[in-house]
Amino acid sequence: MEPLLEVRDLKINFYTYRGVVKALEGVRFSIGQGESVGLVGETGCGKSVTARAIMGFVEPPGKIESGEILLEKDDLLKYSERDMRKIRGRKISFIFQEPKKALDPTATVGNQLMEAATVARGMDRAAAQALALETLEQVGLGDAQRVMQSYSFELSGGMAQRVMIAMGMVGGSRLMIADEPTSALDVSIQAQILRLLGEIRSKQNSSLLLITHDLGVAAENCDRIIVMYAGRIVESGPVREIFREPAHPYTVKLLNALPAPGKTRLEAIPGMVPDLVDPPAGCRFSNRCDRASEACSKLPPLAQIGPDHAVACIHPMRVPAKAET
Amino acid sequence: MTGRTRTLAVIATRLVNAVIVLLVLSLIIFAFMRAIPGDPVLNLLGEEETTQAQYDALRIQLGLDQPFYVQYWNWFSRVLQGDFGQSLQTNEPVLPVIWEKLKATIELAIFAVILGTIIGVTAGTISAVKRDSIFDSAAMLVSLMGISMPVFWMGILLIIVFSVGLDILPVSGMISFSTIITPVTGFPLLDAVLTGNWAGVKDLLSHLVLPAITLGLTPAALIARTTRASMLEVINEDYVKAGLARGLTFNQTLWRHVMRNAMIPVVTVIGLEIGVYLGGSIVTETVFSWPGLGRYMIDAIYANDYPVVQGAVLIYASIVVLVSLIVDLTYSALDPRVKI
Repeated sequence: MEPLLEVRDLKINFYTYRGVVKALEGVRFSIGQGESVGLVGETGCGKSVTARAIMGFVEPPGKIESGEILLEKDDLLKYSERDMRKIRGRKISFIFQEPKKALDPTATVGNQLMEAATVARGMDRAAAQALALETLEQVGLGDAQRVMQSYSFELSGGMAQRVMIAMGMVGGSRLMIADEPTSALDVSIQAQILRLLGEIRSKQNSSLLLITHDLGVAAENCDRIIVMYAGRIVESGPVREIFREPAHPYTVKLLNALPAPGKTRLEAIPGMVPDLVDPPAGCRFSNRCDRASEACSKLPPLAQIGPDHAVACIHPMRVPAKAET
Repeated sequence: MTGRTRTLAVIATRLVNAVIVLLVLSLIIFAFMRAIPGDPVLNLLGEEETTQAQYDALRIQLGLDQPFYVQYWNWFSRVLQGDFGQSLQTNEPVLPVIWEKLKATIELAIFAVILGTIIGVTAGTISAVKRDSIFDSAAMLVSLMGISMPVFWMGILLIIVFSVGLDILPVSGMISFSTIITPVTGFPLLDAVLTGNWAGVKDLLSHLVLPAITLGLTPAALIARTTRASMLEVINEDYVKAGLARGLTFNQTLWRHVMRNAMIPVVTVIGLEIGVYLGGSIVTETVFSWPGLGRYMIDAIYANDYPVVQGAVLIYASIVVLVSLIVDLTYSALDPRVKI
């Protein structure tokens, strides 16, 4: 599959008073056209930073040290702010964790939906209005006229998130990045929103990068899962393989922490996420891992263990089929 | 209730409140004037060569021999009919004189408010956008000075620099002797513009610059700091990121989404500053010999001219009450969550 987006060896540091936070190191993955990829990990593992980097939203004290973010083979990191503007909304759209905070409280939904078409893309008002109304109906907001005139405080969380999804569609983007799009919503609404994201993706053959801390959510909505830990990718592969044959001890522990029928106790992972100002040398999970050995103080490369399955571990649960390809 | 009737109901409630405020205030100022040292009768007659009989006669003529509540009722019942009484000093009716003087004060205050708001909002916005730049540090330092400096001292300093030192602006007053303005509305600057008297406009503006800066600078400093803080808060909101994410430039986001939200607390400050403007105008008018209501009232206080002071205070208070009502109405225009 020809990748739509390819992230290569992305390294991001944050220069804080406490020291340099090594937030992201050597992150590489790709998203194919029409593919849905879940970026999974706990808080602070770097999944949101990755998403923001793709949008060009890394601001001081954060700094992209090295790497490439290729969108259809063009490196976005070489783009000026001016050029990025043509990418945002038109090629990549972004869905926020808290939809009601992502809407200007003093502007109507219509105002913001339409400006995505008029101000950002130079469409005329009448066409923009027609497009906005049509899109709102597509995301399941029946009373589109009324929604257009509403303010964010008049919408429910679910409605607001539908509006944000519509916002991404108005721009005609082919890649949707959704940063914990359902974490702030009621459980009953979460499934609806995720289903909507899936429907739109298959209808428009667009791609989705779903960022979530919830392996279950990623499993139900993604083709592939990338597991991150402390600023690095530890494992990536098709959902089925990740669940059936997890290779990284961290992935295994994450899966064990998932609730399941018949399970009376959820397993917690002992220890704490390492301080990224001074992370452990080599594998960053080694201090919490019961398979860890001396060898883990050397950085394990992300090695292929299946056609589309890779793991960064010296002692994986599955033996690599071949050396790195 | 529809939005319109609700708005009217709110305005009506506020007006009733305003009347109560003004009533209490009139009572306080009426009592205070009589409590401060000085005797208007003696002021008129002079301490020498006045007999007790003359003194008593004038006192009775002015009604100052009556008990306090009778005096208050006599004054207040006339005020309700629009008669603020006569000046004890000049015997002129108070209200027409106040109105004439108020025009000069309004001209000064409007320019000061405009100047203060433009300087404050602009400096605050640039400071926020160029956070931690040299401009930001300098603007915040100057604004700290602006807040800390007393108005009268600021005025005198400006006079020393621009009028005495550089000699490019007049020292005081509102207009040069040689300038004649044909009255139309009674507001000199407005009249000069209406009659196309551009030499007059220039003369009036040259007199207006220093007092307007003096009066506008303290509020400008506070407005700048509020604007900066408010902008910095709004710039970090998700909806600003969302604006960028749908393809707006930073400047488009700034104008379309940051400004309006950031202005909500600033409007509060501008509203609160109205009292500061009026208080400052009294000092400014004294420093610059501006022929406004403030100076008129100060002179009247020295002369124990009760009806003038009472009338002036009542007018000042009415302006504050009215302007804060307008500020509250502005909220609902800025922020759809505020429905009044």
